[in-house]
Amino acid sequence: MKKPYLMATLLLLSPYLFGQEAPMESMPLNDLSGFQSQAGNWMIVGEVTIDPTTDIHHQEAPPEESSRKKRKKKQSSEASSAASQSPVTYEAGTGILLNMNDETTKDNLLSSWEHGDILLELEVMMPKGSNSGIYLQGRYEIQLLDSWGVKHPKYGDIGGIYRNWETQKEKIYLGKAPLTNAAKAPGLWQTMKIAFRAPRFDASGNKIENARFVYVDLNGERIHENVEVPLPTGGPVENNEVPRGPLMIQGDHGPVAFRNIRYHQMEETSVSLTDLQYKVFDNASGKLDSLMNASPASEGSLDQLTAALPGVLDNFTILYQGALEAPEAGDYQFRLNYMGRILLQVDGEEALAVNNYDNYRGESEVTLSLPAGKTPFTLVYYKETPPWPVRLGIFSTDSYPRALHQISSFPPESPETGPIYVNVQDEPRLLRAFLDYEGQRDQRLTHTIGVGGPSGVHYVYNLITGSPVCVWRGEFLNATPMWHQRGDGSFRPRGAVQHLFAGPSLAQLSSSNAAFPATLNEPGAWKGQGYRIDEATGEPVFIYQMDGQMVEDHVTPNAEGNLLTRTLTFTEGNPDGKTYLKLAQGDHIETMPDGSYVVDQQYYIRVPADEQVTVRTVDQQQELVTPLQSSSFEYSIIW
Amino acid sequence: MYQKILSFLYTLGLLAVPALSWAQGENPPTEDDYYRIVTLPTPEGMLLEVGGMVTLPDGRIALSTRRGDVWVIENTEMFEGSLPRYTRYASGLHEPLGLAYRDQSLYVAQRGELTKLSDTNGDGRADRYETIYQWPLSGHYHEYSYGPKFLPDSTMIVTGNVAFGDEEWWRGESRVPWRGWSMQITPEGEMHPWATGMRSPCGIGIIDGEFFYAENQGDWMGSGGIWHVTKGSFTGHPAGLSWAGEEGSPVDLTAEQFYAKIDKRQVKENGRYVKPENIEDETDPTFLFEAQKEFPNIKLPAVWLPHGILGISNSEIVTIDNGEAFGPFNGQLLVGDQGQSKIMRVALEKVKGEYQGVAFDFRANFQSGVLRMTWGDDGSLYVGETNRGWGSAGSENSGLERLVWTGATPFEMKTVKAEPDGFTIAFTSPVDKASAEDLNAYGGRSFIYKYHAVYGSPTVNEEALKIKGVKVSEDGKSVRVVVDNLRQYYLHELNVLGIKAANGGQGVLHPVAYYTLNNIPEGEKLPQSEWVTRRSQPSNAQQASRAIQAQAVTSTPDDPNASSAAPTFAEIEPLLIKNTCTACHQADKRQVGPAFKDVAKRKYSPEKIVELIYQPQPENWPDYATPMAPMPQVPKEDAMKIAQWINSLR
Repeated sequence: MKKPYLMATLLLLSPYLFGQEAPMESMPLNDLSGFQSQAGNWMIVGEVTIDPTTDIHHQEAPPEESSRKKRKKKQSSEASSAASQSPVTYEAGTGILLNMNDETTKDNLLSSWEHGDILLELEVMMPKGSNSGIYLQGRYEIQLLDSWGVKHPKYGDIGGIYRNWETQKEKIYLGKAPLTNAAKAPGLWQTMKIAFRAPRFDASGNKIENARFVYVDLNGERIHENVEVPLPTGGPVENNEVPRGPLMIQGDHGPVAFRNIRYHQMEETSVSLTDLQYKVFDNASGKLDSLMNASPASEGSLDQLTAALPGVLDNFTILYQGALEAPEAGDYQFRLNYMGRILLQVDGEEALAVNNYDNYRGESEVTLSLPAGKTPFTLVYYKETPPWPVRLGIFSTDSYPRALHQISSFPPESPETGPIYVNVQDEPRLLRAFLDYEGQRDQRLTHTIGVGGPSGVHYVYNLITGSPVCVWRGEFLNATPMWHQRGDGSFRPRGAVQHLFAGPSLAQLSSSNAAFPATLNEPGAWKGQGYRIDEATGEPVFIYQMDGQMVEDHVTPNAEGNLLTRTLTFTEGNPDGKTYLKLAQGDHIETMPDGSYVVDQQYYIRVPADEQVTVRTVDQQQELVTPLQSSSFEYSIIW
Repeated sequence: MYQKILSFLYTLGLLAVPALSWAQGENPPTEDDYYRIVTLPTPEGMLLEVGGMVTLPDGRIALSTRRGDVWVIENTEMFEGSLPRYTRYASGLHEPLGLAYRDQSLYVAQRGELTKLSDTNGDGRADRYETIYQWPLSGHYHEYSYGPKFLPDSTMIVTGNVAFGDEEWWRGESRVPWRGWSMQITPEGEMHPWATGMRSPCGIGIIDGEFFYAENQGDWMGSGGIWHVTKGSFTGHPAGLSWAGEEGSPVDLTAEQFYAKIDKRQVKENGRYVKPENIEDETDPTFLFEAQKEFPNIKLPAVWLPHGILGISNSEIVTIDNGEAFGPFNGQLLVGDQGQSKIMRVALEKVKGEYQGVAFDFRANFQSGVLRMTWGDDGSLYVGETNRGWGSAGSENSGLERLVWTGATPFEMKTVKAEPDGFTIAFTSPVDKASAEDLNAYGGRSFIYKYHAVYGSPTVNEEALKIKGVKVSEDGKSVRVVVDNLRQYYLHELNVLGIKAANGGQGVLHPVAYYTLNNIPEGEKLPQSEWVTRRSQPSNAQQASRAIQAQAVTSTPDDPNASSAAPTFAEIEPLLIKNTCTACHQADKRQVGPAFKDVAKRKYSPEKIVELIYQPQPENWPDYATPMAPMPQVPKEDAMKIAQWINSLR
C-alpha cells in the first residue's frame, strides 16, 4: 500500500469555499476555444462601448416567434420601430465575449466543459432593453436583463431565478425574484458571483437533492441566499436534471458582453469515517503515547463521530480511532471546527496539531492524500480550563461542506442578534456614522452621513471633504455594527454600492493643473457648517464656507429614483475662477455619444449641455474637473 | 429579587440578623420609602438608550439617544395618569452623548463634532444642524465624545475618550488631537484645549460655575472619582499628553517628561507586548499624590468613588439646587453610575483652597445603567439610562425613569466634614445620644489606590481607623469624631453602623461614608476633656450589635462543626458586598460579569477559584465585554469561603 502523503494547509491557503480564496480558473477569452461552436453571433473583441440611451428595440427587428418568453417578445414588438444606430460599438481584440445576434444568427453559447458544483464569477454589460441569461448546467437560469431602476424586481429581472413555462401542475416552477434590485444602468459593467450546488442523485439515478444556488451576488450585493431550484427553468438545453451539464449563455435576445469569467469546479466525494472507537479520559492531554497506555474513564464504538459523550465536561481528552474510507485514491479536503485543541494522525503520521490554549472557535483545514479504501486515523480532542461548550465538527470540504459528525457534536448555534436595519419611510432619513470606504477598515471615514431617499436612492456624504462618497439603490442601512453591544460606530450601506471618490470635490486651486488637496478641514480655507433640512423635500442641504464664499450643496434624486443630481449654489460670494469642482475620478474617463462621461465603465456623470468640463490626469488618475464660473452648477450621477 | 436582597442588606448595614434594635417586627425603612422610582412608558419599539438629557425652559425634557434621535417629552410627570408624549426633535446624529440648551437651540456632542440644533420654522423639529466645531477622530470604537456643558461665560465644555491600542488593546491611546482632553468651545466655534488626563470622561457637570468630571476605573485609573478640572490640569491618564505641545495647549507637561519619571509598563516578550498586571506585594507603588509632587499639573480627585462600592462606571454629576423640593440635601451633588444602575451623593467642601469631600450611596435599583440626570420643574429627578453593551444591574438595557422624593426625610449622614483631628458628621435628624456616644457605634478604615498603567488597582495600605473619642452636639444633629490616624490623601471609610435615630430608633439608611482627605484642615483640635470614650460591651449593648457584627464579618471564628460545609448565602452575602464582588456578579443572573451559578458550572476547585479571584482569566469568558480586574485585596479566608459558596450553587 502506498504510504499516504499528508499535507496540512493553513486556512488562508486552502480553497475555502465561501471566502475569496478559492483558486479560480480564468477563461482567457483570447478566442472561443472554451465554448462549443455556434452560429457566429458570439465573438471575442477588445473593447466594448454601449450607448446607454439607445434601446436595442429601436434598431432591432422583432425577434422571431419562439416558444419561450412570449410576453417579453410581445412587449418588444410593441416597442420596436425603424432600425437605427446600434448602441453597441466594439473594437477588435481579446478579453471580452460579445453577443451580437440578429433574427437568424442567435445561438445560445455552451461551454465546452460540463460542471456540477461550481463557483462562477463574471462581469456583464448590456444595452438598454437587452435580455440574456446564465444557465447553470444549461438548466437553471439566472436572468440577465436591463432592469435599471426597477423598484420591485421580479423573477424575470436581472439576477432573478427564471421561471419555466410548463403547464403540467407538478412541473411548474415560478422562479424566484432577487432579494433586491442591485442592477446598474445599461452600458456599465456589472459583477455577478454565483455559488451553485448541483442536484444529487442516488445510484439508480433518482434525484435525492435539488439543485441549489448557495448564493448569488450582483454588484456585491447578495440577491439569493441558499435557495433550491426544484425544476429546470425555462429554455433549458435539455428538459431533464443531471449531475453535470455545460454552462449556457442565452444569445437570442439582444447584445450582451462578458469579461473576467472565472470559475472553480468542485466535486463532492463520498469520503467517510468508519470503524469508529472512542476513549474518554478525565484530563486534557495531547500526549498520544501516554494516552494509548492509560485507562479511559469510558470507551465504546460509534456510528458517527461525536463529542457529546457521557463524562465529557470541562477538562477531558477524547481519543477517536477509526478509518477514513476514500472511494478512490486522491486528495481530500477536510475542515475541523472545535472549542479547545485537536491532534490528527493519519496512518501514523501527524496531519494536524493545534495546541493553542485559547481556541474559542478553532478552525483548521487539512488536505489528505488518501489511497482507495480505508486509512487508519487517530483524532484527539482535548480541552481544559476554558470552560467553553464542547464542540467538535469535522466536514468533508471537497465541495460545499458536508458534515461527517453527528449534529449533537457541533450543533447549530443561534446568532447573537438579528440585524439592526435603518429603513426609509416617507421622508428622507439621515444618519451619521463611520463608513468603511470600499468596505475597508483602513479607509474608515469618520465624519460621514447617510442620506436615504424615499424613492430608494441613497448616498453617503463626507462632511470633512464636502462631497458625496458613495451611492446606491435599494434598502438603506445596516446599523448593526454601530448599535449592537458596544458597537464600533460604523454602518454599512445595504445595496450594491457605487463608490465615487473619498477626497474633496470643491477647492481653491492655484492653477488648472494643480492637484486637489487631500483634506479640506485646514483652518480658514474651508469650514463645514453642517446642513439645513429643506422644508419642501426634507432633504439635507449641506452648507460650507470657503474663503468668504458660502456654498450650499444639495443632492437630490430624480422622480424615477434612478439617479442623483448634485447642485452647488454660492449663496454668498461668487466663484472667482479659482474654485474648481471635481466631478469624478478614476482610471479611465470617457465621453459618451450623448455628451455624458463614463468613469471606469462603472458610473456616468451627466453635465448640462452648456457647461464645460474637462478630463485631466493628475497622479496617474483621470479626473473630471471644471472651474466654476457662475453661482450655481449641477450635474448628475447615474449608475 | 437578588437586587432587592442586596439593597435590603445595604439598608440594614450589611446585616441580616433577627436581633435588630429598632421596631421589632416591622420592616426597616428602605430607599423606596424616601425616594420612589417611576418608570416612564415609551411607545413600543422606541429605544431610549439615553446619551444626553436637559430640561427645557417650558419644563419639557429633551434627551438624545444612541440611535441618534433627540426626543422632546411633554407631560413627563404623567399628570392624573396621562401618558408622556414624545416628539422627535432631531434624528440621524452620531451616537450623541450629551445635550444642552441655550437660547432656543439645543447643543449636542456627536462623536466627531459639536452641533447646534435649531427649529427655524416652528414645527417642533430641528431643521438646522449647524456644525459648531469639528474635531478629528481615528475611527476607533471607544472614541466617544461627551457634552456640552455651558460654563458661566457661555463657552461650552466637551470631553473625549481615548482609543485603545491595536496590539496593546489594554492601553489608552490618543491617536488624534484632543482625545483624552476637555475642550472649551465658544458658540462661534473657536476651540481652546482646556485640560487632559481623561480616560473615559462620560460624566461632566458644572458645579458653582466650575467644571467637574467623573472618571471610571481603568488603566492609570485605580478607581473612579470626581475631579475639579481647572484649565491646564492633568487628571491622570497620560495618553492625551501627546498633544500637550500643540498650539493652544494649556498643559505644560509632555509625554516624554511624564514617562521619564513614571513607568509606562510597556514590555515586549517574544516580539509581542505584554499586558501589564498588578504587582502583588509591591514594595513602593506610586500613588497619584506622589506623582503630583513631581508634576504639579496633576489634579487629585476631589472625591474618590471607591470602585465596586460607589459605582464602577461613574457618569453625570448634577447639583441638587431646588431647595427643599428633593429633600434635605440641597447644594450637594448626585453622581450616577452606569454599571451599578444607581446614584451616589457627594458633599464637597473646600479645604486649603481645594475641593474635597464625602460620598455616600443614595439610591439603587434603577432598571438600567444611570448615565444622565436632569431636574424636572416639579423637583423630581429624571434619570436617563443605558448600558450600551457593558452590562449593568437592573432588568433592562435602557430606559427613562423619574426619582421622586416622597416627603419623608431619611435618617442619613447629611455631610461629613474634615476636622484637624477627625471628622464632623451632620445628620438629617437627631441621633439617639446613647447610641452615638458609644465608640463601638463607629468603625472604618483608610486606604488608597495605586497609580500605574495597570487596569484598576486593589485598595492598598489599608489601616483600620483608630477612633479615640466622639462628641455629640447639643441638638443631637452632629457628631465630632476624633480619629488618631488620619492620613492625608487617603480615602477614609467611616461607618456609623451602631447609631440609632433619636426618633424611631432605626439605623442610618446608608451608614458608610467615604471621605477623600486630600488636605487636613488647620484649626483647633477638640480638647480631650470634651470627648466621650465609652465603649459598650457587645453582649449587653444591643445598639452596637450592627457595628460589631459588621466588623465580625472580617474575622468570623470558624465554627468547627461547620468548617467543611459550604457557607450559607446569609453568611456569604456580607463578604460579597465587602469585597465588592456584587459590583459585577449576581447569584443567578448575568450582570457585568457572569452569575456565580455559571462560575459554579465550570467545576473549578475552590483553590482554583481563589486563584482566579487574584489573577482572573477574562479570556475564559469571551462573551463578556468587561474584563475582571485582579482582586488581591480580598483576604484569603474570605476568598476561600466565597469559592466554597460558589461551588455550592452547582
